[in-house]
Amino acid sequence: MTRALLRLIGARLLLSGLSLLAVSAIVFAVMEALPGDTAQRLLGRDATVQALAVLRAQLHLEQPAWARYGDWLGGVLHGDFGTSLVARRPVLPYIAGHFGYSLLLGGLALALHIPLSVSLGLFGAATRRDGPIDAMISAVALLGMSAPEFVIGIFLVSILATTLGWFPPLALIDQAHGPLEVARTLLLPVLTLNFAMTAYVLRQTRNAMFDVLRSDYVRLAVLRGLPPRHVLLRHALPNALAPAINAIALNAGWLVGGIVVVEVVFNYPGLGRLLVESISFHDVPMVLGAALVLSATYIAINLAADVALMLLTPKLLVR
Amino acid sequence: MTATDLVRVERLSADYRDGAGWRPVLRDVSLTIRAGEVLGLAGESGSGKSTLAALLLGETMPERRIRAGHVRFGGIDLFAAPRDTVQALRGRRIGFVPQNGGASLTPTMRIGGLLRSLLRHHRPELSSRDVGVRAERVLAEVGIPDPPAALRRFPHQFSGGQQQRIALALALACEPDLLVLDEPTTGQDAVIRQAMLALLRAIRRERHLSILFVTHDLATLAQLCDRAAVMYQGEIVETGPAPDVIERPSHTYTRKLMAALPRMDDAALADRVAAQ
Repeated sequence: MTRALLRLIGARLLLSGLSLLAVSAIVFAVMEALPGDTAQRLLGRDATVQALAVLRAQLHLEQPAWARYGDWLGGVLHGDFGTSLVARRPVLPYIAGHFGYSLLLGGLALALHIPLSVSLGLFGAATRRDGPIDAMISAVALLGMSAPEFVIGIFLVSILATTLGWFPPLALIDQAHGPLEVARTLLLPVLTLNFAMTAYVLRQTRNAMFDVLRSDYVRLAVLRGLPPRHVLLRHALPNALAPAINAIALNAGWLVGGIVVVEVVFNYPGLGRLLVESISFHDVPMVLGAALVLSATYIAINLAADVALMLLTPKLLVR
Repeated sequence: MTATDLVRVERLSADYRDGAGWRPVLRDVSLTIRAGEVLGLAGESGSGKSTLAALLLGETMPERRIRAGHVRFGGIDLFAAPRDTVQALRGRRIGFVPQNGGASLTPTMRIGGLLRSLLRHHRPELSSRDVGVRAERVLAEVGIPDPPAALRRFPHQFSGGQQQRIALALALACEPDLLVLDEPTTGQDAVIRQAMLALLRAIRRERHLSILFVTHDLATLAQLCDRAAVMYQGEIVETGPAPDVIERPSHTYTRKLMAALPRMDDAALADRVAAQ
């Protein structure tokens, strides 16, 4: 029974190594293609040619690109992700710290997203199809889905933070004291992300539940005299969750990118903001490290979703 | 009507929602099923026979309404009784097998889960050991090989014919007084159809229950039923002992249904299956 599951996980782990290698090569190539380098960024426009040359030598920037990539890759294989060209310190502790913040924000966003969108979808399915409640839920959710998250973020900030003053406009979590203040700083970014994500899962759950409730097996469960609670929890819900999990996985994947934008809007010290800042400073080892961690997260989310899907779908699990 | 009538359908008229308006699907239908009797209900698709079968379980749905009449099971008026009373009859005293038995099995549940939850709900007095024993026994009764292993499997791991038998096992598990079979052999090849009919004859012999057997195929009626009723456009146009209805049809529609029968091969097959 678990053989199919183990085969899936094994194959994915093998593939993910190749994916990460490809990601690092592409990111390195793109960084090389960008104009300018770290020395220029650090010293500014008025730097003398000599000063630039000295700094480039210190940062080993005069070596050819393939040699720098090879050095970096060799280091990674030994667990050394390199040294930041700007901070001149190992990138790993930096990335770990920022990743922790991103994980907190993304985790909280998902922790709200999954029960909220699934239960709204189930609620929509419980009302009359295309009735007033169903239509209203869908309309609000679609509005959230069609607006870009930086628009929603700025909109929420201007109303809830600037006008009403209920929440801080910036999510300066590293300066927050105590869990209550942390929650206050995180609320707006979490809401912004949820606005963007809810519609899709909600509609998938609602449509799946509508179909399942009209299925032969739910009809027969009722005609076999089983109580409504049992029919809903054992016969209907598990079959409506598979499409919902697909949608949640897509959203969680989107979240890896969406969080970058939201972190910049709220000046939140996560991995996304670190990535954007490091790109502007041409800090190649930092960019590579951050990109690898984001990619690995994306891969892990998809694998977790496929495992959950398989556990919920006996047809995939046992043949 | 006698005291042994298990089911009494009295002047039942029902409508079906069709686009904008309501379309009659049953017109003034009266019918009885006696204890221990097998009644065949024949008619082409759209004649209302599946609706009648569903109404024997008191099934309500938004796109259907009862205009007049009653359905009584053991004296209980299914459309006047409280919902809980009707729900307690379903699965317990009335077993139902739909046309597509496979689709009636929840894909995320094991056969054991389906059977055991049904038995535990309707027969709370049974110990969990007895529930397991009964689940295995009813699977064996419908001819599923290796019942202990079958209980651990999911519906998709069985063939179409086996899924239909499992649907039958679910209908039989709580030892009902009435079995409603809505075209249980439709869409299956001749060999599987004959095996299913042989199984139903055996169950009838062992269990002494009443059966309503809905079909569009008069030939299968002859092999199983005591009495037959023929439906046409929502009305019962003919009832009587099954051999009479089949051999001496009085209504022109029944004669047309009979004339449409090609099946010499089915009778031969029935003999072969019976011989095995």
